[in-house]
Amino acid sequence: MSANYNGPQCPHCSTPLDAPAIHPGTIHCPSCMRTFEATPFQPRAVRHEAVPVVTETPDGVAAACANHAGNAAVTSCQRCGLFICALCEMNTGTGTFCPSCYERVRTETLDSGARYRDYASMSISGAVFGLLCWLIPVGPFVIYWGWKGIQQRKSEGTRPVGPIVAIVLGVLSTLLMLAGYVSMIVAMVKA
Amino acid sequence: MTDRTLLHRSRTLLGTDATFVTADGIDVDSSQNYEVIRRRVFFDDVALVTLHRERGLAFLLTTGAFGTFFLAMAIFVVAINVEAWEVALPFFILGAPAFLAFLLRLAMGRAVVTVWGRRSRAVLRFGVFRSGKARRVYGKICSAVRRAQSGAAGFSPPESPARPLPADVPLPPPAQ
Repeated sequence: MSANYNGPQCPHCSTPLDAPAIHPGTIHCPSCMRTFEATPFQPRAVRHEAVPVVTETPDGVAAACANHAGNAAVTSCQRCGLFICALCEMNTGTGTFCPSCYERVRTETLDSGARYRDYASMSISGAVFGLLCWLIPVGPFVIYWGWKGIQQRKSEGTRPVGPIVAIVLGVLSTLLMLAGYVSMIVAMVKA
Repeated sequence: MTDRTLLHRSRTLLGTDATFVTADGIDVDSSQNYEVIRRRVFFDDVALVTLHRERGLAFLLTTGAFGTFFLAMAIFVVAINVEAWEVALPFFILGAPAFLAFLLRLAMGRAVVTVWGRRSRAVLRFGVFRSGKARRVYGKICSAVRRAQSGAAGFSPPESPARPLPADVPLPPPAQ
């Protein structure tokens, strides 16, 4: 989700494409004159149907939408908890938001699950750093990040080769660090 | 996390983009500074899928400058003293792969598949020699979108459900 995204554009020069300019096959951009292959689709127009508030339901009174007093609330905003009707409901795939929270989520990408830490890459970089600077105690962190990276890769359905190699290198750099400190202490005691 | 399969993983100078296919759309996980931001494009929201070739100005500038600098250093050392080729060798090893990558990208470009949704987009960038895979992925995405949108065309949201009758309301007498 990009805050300034407004639909299909030329992939070369980012000029917005008008509907008549979009057709199957090779398209010549009218702005930059470069070509690209395209397959257009007709996404179904979303029909928002608000249910009017019914005051005499068998279950009692339906909650009204916070923005439209005449419409029944169909859900609540995941971020602020506001009751919202079908007109206000903004579903991003990671949650349901009211229009104002949706704008914030669009600009800040704060929706839950949309932002997380890449432990696999952290463990690989940490392992390389740990081997180069083996007197700095990075190894235990690399092992922890590698373990978290394995869990992430497994949940994604990909093979966790990188984090496994990082854990092995992390153990190696930890042993190197310990050996280095022990040898330094021994040398100092002998001196 | 939902069930998803890895479609493509591409590395850029700034981070990694991993693209996954889910039952109802495409997830793009962009990793920058060890933080992953997930963007999602639903299949029934897709308006256009494009395939084109690009060269990438940032890549060309970086690899070109890096490769040219180290190859120039190697040539400079050899030009001063041919006997000192051992000194020039590390410069050549550093510069040659970057310069080769620069030439390949300049000559061939790379394939890019872009999925344009109504609210979001996904960009899949492929390597210089992965044009075949790019076309396969392009076809796969187009067929998935076609399947999702043809299924959605026959769908219409249900009307307001009829209120169930209370149990204690007596039924009308049978017709005589």
